[in-house]
Amino acid sequence: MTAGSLSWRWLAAGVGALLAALLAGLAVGPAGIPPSALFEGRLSPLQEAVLWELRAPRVLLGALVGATLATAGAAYQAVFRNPLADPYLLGAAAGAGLGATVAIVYAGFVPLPLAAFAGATGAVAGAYLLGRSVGDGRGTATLILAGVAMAAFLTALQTLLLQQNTENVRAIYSWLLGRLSTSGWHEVGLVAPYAAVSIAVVLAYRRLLDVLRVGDQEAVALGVRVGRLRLLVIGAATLGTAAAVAASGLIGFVGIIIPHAVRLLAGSSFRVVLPLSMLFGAAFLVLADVVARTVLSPAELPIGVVTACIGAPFFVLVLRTSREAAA
Amino acid sequence: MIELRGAGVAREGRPVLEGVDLSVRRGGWTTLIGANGAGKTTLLMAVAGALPHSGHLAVGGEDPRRAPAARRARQIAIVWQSPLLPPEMTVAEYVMLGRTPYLGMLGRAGREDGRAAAEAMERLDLDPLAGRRLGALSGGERQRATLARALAQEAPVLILDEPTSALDVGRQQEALELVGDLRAERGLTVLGAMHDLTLAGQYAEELALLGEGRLVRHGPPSEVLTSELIRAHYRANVEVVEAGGIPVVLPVRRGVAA
Repeated sequence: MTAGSLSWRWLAAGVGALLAALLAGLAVGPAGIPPSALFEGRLSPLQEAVLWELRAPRVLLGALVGATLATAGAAYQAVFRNPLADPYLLGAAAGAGLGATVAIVYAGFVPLPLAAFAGATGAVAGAYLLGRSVGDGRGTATLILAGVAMAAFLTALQTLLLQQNTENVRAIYSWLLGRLSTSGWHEVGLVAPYAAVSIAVVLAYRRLLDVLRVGDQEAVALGVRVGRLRLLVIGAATLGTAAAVAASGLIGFVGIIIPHAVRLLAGSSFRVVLPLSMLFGAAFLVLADVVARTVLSPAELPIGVVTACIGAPFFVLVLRTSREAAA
Repeated sequence: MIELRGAGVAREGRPVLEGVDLSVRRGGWTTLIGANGAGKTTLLMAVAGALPHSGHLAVGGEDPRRAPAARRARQIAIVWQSPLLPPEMTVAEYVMLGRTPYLGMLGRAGREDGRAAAEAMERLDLDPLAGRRLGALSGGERQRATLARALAQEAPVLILDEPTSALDVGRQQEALELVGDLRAERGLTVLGAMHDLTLAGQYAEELALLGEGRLVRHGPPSEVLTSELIRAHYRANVEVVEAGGIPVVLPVRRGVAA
């Protein structure tokens, strides 16, 4: 085994966690379906309909969105060499928010997922071009600042639009908090290709992202075309994020918390962090969705609230135990 | 191996060096000296292809700015003055990064890469530290780790920017002895920059003194390390004495007779 590579133990743990989460996602809900019935195939027609038309697409969408957001978060942290980077760093959230607001306010003009997707990719592309035009492509600080400026500008536009159309506040707000509830197979089909491409590109570059850890200057001296690598990885991560946001709204926290938990527990190499973030991100979001639809059943909690409520204490726990283990 | 003719380097539009003629033979060791701000690091960066230059500059017969990044990295290995060492990365992982120019865009490390990394680790006595995190290394160990990373790169040209500035005198000697041995074993061409003039003169084959935006003097240490030149270009009060045929630069407190 070469240094820093992914151990079988952790890979098995990730796959196991994802399978367990998928099973829980299929089995738990208002219409109880015991896992034993799932395995033996003894389902009533109603149960079968609930399973295949309601739960399965929702669980799969949750897994896709969780995997994409966690991988994209780790990718952003790698290219910006910044532990606080998340998939929304360059304005994807603000852009998607504006797009969704436009779609809701001018209902019927554009479908909401398309508007959110266009808003997110447009905002990041704008931030990237803006950052390059003033910073000559050097350093990441200019790029992050351009993202901050872009986000502030788009958020201001969104607020203006909202203030003039207060009757839509509720719909927009519920979108902002994220939800997997209205999903069917259609949304799974929309997200899957983007998620697959995004994750595949980011994972393919995991070794070069490790080289970036020693800094741009050193990475260039080691023969890495840093500017191109950064553009490709940001592009791929943004595409995945935009698709995830378009289907399920703004789900925070997954992109930061999962990569960090993985890093603290399994190792800091991106050859470990990226694939495990994908697996545990998917498992985490599926479980968070199980909680979201059972705690106040039959009402649902917004999944963004659940990811933060479970995520924050869990992360503190990981931080504490890893500190103690290191001491 | 390294050839500059009428070369100039600018930083942020401001010329730092102009009209530099310098050549380092294959297997040679030249160390740049000069006061703070004289342009030592700037010149090293230009040779490494990290800064644009004017005039003629070639490493192994090729302009480092024109060479594709991976080919340049197989030609030139660099140890910068204060390299960024990710505290959580292990020594073995770090040394393996030296193989990056051989891996291609998506490639995984092969047997040859493992051999080169293992050789570099063994050569610098890093085997006992292989699993140690970079954040837990002492100054001397960090220096050995960065040298091993550069060695794993298996490039014929080694650029060293102040390789010993963070080390005590014993570790400085160790590091420079090591560079000298590696140069002899592998026929490396070394271009460095140093502040300690005596050590620079003891280990390098030739010194090149930079000052006022140009190359002031280039030659064997005994020709470059003269009290006149050092007084003029460092604004320092020094005496140069000889010990075993090698110049030793002694700083002298002003107003006190040596």
